[in-house]
Amino acid sequence: MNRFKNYLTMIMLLLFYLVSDLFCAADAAEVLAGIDRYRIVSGSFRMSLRIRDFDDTRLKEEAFFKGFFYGDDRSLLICERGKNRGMKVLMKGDDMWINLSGSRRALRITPMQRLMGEASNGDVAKLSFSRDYNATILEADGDLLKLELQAKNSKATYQRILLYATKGSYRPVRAEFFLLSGKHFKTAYYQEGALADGREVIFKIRIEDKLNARRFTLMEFLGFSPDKIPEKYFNVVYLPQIETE
Amino acid sequence: MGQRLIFAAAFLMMTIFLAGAESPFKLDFYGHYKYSWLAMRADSLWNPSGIHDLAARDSALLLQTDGRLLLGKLRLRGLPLLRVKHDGGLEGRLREAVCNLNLGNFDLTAGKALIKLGTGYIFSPISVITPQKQLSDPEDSDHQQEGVWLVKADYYRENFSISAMVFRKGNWSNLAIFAFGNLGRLDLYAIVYYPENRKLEFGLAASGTAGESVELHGELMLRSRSPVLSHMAFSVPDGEELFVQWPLFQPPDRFYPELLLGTSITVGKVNLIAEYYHSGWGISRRDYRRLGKHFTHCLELLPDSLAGMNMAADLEFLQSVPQAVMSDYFFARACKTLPKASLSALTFLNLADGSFLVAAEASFSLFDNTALYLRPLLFSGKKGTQYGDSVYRGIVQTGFSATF
Repeated sequence: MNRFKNYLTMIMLLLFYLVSDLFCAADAAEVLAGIDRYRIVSGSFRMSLRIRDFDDTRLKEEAFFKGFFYGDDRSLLICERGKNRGMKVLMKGDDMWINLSGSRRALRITPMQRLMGEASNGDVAKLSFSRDYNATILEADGDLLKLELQAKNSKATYQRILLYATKGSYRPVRAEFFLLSGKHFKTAYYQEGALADGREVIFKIRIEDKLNARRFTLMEFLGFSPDKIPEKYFNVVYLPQIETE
Repeated sequence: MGQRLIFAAAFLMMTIFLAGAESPFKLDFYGHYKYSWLAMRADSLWNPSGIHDLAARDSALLLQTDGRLLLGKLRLRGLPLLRVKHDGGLEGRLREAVCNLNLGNFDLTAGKALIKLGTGYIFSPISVITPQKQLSDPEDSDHQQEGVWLVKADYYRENFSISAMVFRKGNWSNLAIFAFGNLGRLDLYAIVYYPENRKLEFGLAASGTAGESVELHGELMLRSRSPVLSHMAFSVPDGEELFVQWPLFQPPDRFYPELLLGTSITVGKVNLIAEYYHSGWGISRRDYRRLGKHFTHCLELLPDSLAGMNMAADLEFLQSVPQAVMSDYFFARACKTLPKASLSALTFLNLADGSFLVAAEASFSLFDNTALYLRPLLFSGKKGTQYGDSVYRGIVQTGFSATF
């Protein structure tokens, strides 16, 4: 009988552990969804984007993009100024394509390929963490929550991220990005927000190169306007025909 | 000479004037000046004296405009190109002239258009409509490629599209149907091509990504005709068969494959591209040597004949512009982009005979839309091999380009 009780106790403890883990996971997912709300505007919309690459305080490169976004998994960026003027980057879910200026064909690329400076294509085009990562709350660090994000699949931009957000409001503060090798190679700081769609959305992100502390890139989302984006804008074959003006 | 320069200056001024205009008419201007040093190979099998008269130095100024006019659902686009040669001579070309009607998910296009299909970076067997690009200039920075006259209808959905087109290559009886589908991680392309020789050709292509930074692509085209040069000779010397249809060997009646396997890998800020290409119609090393001997023999017999001139033209094309005429090739390119410069190096290896070319490019950005570049190109191989026998030992180009 005692033996049976011991078994029952062990099973109950195991169940409790599993259920509590589920609740923690649910909490982490909730926090991550809260963080995403600072990065995503619902529906389809246009947004302009400015990327500036610095070495210390010296501006090395600057480019302006016109962006077409549909929810959190489809976006099209068209470079309007800078040396890559006319270049188009299409993102759909985990997949990305590029159409270089003057080329009549789009080629598939990976999210890790650099768009400019320290900004990868995925940094710009992928706004949602929830889509690509499973989160675990590691600890509370003062006023900040620390989450560990693990990629759901190999096609996420990064395989591991340590993400810091304010308690209560879940406003993202910074994210540390790691390669498959485990190397911490860049950090993003979510700096300024502005009102869009009736709530605060992060509009300025600073990305620092951890291997060269002097180098950083500023990404600024400059304008927001809801708009109906034609379906064929997200067709890879149509990409070279989209008028850039 | 003077009139030509005035014409070129007027072309330039008109372009700049229109580019600033506030109207539905948009205009980009592209200017490109290049200077080339050509190192001839004196002992080339293909270069019997007196046949080629190629300058050891060359320069050219390219002026191109890209004009777009948007009138509601109608869009017009024109890309005229003006080339001012080193001797002041002018050459005008219309690279594209397209009228496009946008009807929601449907598009109708008519005119002269550059149509690129497929997944390959340097080889693209299924891209049968626009001629293959020069292998030593994969970005087509010299604007050599030109559109074909066509009428095309497209139907687009987000993850699927189908196009039907009729186009002119010799005559207007070329038909093609092209379909694209995005199935999650895979892009799939299919083409059915019904050329003017009335022998159906089929092609499939796919591309996808794996992991953080690896892209994979492949193409297979089942062809039924020669993809390369074909010149008929009309003169027949006494007792000597001087036919011919290049490359000497008759194309097979059945299908022959063109296969491409490739990958693009990003490591840090370096992008690597590698491609393997196989052509079932490509000639072997032994046949290539036979061809060389045959050509030399014919040229010695009839240096001034139409046949001789045809062959000289073929040889110049074959040797001055690296083409995939043999069976197996490997291509690799590494490119690093810096804020104010880009560096790239590529190699193109003929697996059938071991000869290869190496090309590099250093491009420096002066402002947002201007660049200076330097491009050395070297051919290497033993005698009797494709690049070992090339007309040039090497070419160095330097130039300046600007876009407004």
